[in-house]
Amino acid sequence: MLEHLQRLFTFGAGRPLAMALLAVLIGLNVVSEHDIASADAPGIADTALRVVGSPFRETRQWWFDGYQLISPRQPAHSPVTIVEIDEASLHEIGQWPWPRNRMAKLIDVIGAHTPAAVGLDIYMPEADGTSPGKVADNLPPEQGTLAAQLRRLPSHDEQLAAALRRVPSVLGAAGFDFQSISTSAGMRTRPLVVKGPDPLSVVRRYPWVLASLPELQAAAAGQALLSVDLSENIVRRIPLVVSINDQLTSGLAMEMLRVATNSSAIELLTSPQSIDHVTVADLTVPTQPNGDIWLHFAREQAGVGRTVSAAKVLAGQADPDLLTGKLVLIGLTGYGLADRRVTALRENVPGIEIQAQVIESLFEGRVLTRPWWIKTSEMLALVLFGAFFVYVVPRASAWLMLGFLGVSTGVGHWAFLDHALLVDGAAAVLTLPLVFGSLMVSSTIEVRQRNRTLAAEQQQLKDQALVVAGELSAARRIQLGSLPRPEKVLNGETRFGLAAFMEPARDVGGDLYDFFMIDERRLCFIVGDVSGKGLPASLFMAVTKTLTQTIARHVDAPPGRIAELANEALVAENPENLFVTVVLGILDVNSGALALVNAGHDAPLRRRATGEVDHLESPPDAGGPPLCMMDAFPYGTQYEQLQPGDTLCLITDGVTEAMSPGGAIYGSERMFGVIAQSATPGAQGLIDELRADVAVHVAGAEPSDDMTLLVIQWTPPVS
Amino acid sequence: MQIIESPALSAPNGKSARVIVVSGRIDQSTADLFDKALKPFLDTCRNGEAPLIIDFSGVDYISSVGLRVLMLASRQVKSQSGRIAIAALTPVVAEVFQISRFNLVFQVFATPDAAAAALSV
Repeated sequence: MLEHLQRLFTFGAGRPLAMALLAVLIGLNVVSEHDIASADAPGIADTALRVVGSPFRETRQWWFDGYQLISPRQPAHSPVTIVEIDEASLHEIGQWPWPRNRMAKLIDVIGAHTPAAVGLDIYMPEADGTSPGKVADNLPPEQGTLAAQLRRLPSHDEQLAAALRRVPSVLGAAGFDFQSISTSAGMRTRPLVVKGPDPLSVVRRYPWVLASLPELQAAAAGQALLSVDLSENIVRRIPLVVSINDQLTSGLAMEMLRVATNSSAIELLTSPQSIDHVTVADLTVPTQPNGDIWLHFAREQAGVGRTVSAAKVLAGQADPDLLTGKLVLIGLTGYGLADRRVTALRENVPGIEIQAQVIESLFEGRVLTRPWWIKTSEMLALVLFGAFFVYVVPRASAWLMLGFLGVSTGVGHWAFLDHALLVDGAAAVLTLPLVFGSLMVSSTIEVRQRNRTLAAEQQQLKDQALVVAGELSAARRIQLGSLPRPEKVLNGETRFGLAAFMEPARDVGGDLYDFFMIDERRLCFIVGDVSGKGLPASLFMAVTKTLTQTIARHVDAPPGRIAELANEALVAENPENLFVTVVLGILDVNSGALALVNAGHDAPLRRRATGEVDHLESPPDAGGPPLCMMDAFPYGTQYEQLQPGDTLCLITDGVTEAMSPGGAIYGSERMFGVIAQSATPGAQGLIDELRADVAVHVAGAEPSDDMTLLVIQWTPPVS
Repeated sequence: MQIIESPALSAPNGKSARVIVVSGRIDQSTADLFDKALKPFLDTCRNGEAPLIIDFSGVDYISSVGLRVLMLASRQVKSQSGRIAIAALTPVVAEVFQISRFNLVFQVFATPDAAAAALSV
């Protein structure tokens, strides 16, 4: 399972995965803004879309709130005055609800200052129980006269209706999704004029309405809906148009403006599945497709100056400028009475404040919009940048992403301030880090895998090197470990002197030398060179040495015969097809008689006591090819007679072929000269001089072949 | 060390021999290379094919490891019933051949022409 996940994130799949993630996130984003709220009965599919889109939807709303929190609307001048039924008013006048004749009085006082319109954010679905007639109903029978007198007086509702008739007034109502005792199926609305396709399917639809008494409705110049839908308990959007029982109805703000301007009707400019604008008189407001506007909220504090207590108005103490020519809203603000809502600025304000802000916004022409092309542009930018980002990975850095987010945030804020456009920066903030994260995880895994592969390869190389080194050291141990020490034969010996030297090349192990006494007077010696390197050559060398020594010790035969026997034995077991050049000699150290065989090797040198040097070349009937070159060969023996003081010098071609750093060969002439002019007495002396001279020639260059020297000096006692 | 094939030589009797010219040193460090370069020529040197002549006029030196390559070459060709010879040894190489009695393994001729004449019988 983990392996499969890792594979998904590895190099080849890192980019496709990031692109797929980008596509999915953009898809979710598009879905999240699909307006499902307007659907009457959301189905399972709609609900599912709502759920999967919710992270984007919620962050988008917070993002939009952020613009407002940073830059709340600064109201320039207010066309609105709120006459608030506040705590002070309740204290002065009495408990709520007030008798409606008191409301009538309030409206009359306001009306005396000729306001542009008066709107009531108060629902009055039932008759006033404090009307004189109702009081009469409660009187005991003996008070019949009083009751009759009371019944002759106009009801409070009639008084209020009369007051409403005297001013341009608008009554508020509330939309209900369910029926209750107070709700009704309709109210007296002034028809809206629709220019374009019927928008009924896109607006918020309420089947029921909580409206005031029909006689009050009849008295008011306009009716409007006050309902506001909340998103996550926060007021962000306000409907300018809704429908009640399939009848289009205006919101309070537009209706107030219609009544104030004495216009005949509010007009809707629509296109299929969209309300584009709502107009009244010469005011045209762009709306969201469902008839909502995004409100740019001002701080509640900013509206303190346009608010006056109802008690103050009733007492005639209100500033006339607050009422004359103003759109006056009457509503409750007292705690416990008011319908309080939280705005996008996170302020808990009375509903009437929100209505006032809607009117102010319409007046200032400050309505936030989010036309379809904004969404399209956002998605396009996200696709392009996201794809670019994935493309340039791994050069893409967090800085590049943060830069894009910074720029889009800046552009968003500029569009908000200067053009009242809502740009959703949250889409990028949610999407890009996820895509970035996926790329980072992919590349991290990729790098880790590559490192692991590298480490494995390095380990393998190291292992191989160890194996080779092990082989080489084994080869060297075999080669050097089997070499005899001169003391073995020299122990108290005066008849001859002997010295030997071998320097193996780094990766070669093919030279050999050996010497031993066959009996009291016969010294046997061998110098050889195996044609090969490494362990096989070393093993072949060891076998050759053991074999020749065994044969020499146990077969009383001349060197030619020994070579012949050794050749036959070696050929039988030679899987590597190696061969070995050998000089094998037997010296009678009493008489100086020398018998030797040369199997393809450099001829031994002889230095006379007089200083002359010559090669002991094989005569035509002696010697032969290297051992193992021919399956069988009759090697002949060469016989020589040494004179006292004669020195035999046996070498391998590692000496004559020793190369200087410039590639020059040491050569046999130079060797001849050194041997001829050697002044140091004894076998070891000659070896020391030769080594020193070769070292001068080689000058530190790595030897390419093993170098072997064996020197024997015959020094018989003078008889 | 390198091997270059030169134009085939015609023997007096009209038959031709394949000639390759070897040059450089054949020692521990180049013997493997020599072996590999020689291989394709050896593989085609079999019964019924043209004989192979190795022109050694450019070889400065050959060590025992190089001789081993030649020995193996000789064995391979012999097993394929092919014909092979070496020609034009330089003095150094001739000395090595003489010391190691390599003429017992390989037919050696003074010139490629002489070799072609002798082999294309």
